[in-house]
Amino acid sequence: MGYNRCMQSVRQSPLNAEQKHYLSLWQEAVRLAEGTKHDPSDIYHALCNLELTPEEQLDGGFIRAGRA
Amino acid sequence: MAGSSEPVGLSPTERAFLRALQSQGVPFMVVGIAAARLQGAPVVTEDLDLWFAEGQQAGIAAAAKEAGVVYVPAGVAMNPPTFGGRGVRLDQVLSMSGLASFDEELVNTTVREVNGIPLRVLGLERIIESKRAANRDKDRAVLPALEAALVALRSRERTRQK
Repeated sequence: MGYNRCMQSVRQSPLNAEQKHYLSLWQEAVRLAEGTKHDPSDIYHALCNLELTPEEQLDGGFIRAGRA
Repeated sequence: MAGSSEPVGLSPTERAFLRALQSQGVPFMVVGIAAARLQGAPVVTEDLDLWFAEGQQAGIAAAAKEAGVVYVPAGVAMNPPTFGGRGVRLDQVLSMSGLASFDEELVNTTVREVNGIPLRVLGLERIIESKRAANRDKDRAVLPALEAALVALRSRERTRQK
């Protein structure tokens, strides 16, 4: 309820290119999750991760920084 | 891409070790959660799991010495082979549940370059298979995220093929 009210109260303004890009990733994730047991959020984060360099992917994946 | 900090990836010690393994001719592949991470999976881990071809202990020990990585061979105190040291987040995987032999699984790897080092990385599908077979609590816990990542990965592969 609170979430819905919050979403409805967001003032619509034109999206910039970066916003449009991430929105398209979210929409793709929702589409891919349709009719499956998968969480759209997991798919969305995976799609985002696939845009990272391998180094960035590892940085985000390690609990320990390991920067000696 | 938002964000300003420089990506680090592997620590200098880890890079030195992996390069030393390659110069020693020790066959290995990255498996486990770090490998899944390199294929987009939104999961975290403590370490970089390395699966070696059989009979490589001498080469591993030599590479560790060259790179300044602490390496305790298996069996000293009933221990598995153990890596240590500052900036070292490496783990030696002795067997992969549900998978074929190291040599047979090589066909299921791709090469990803990390910090300028070409690394063989086991495919996400095979990682999922091994997690299903291992079936520990922690394996079951990551399966939904790994399976969702496979959906995303396949979608990207289809996009690239178009």
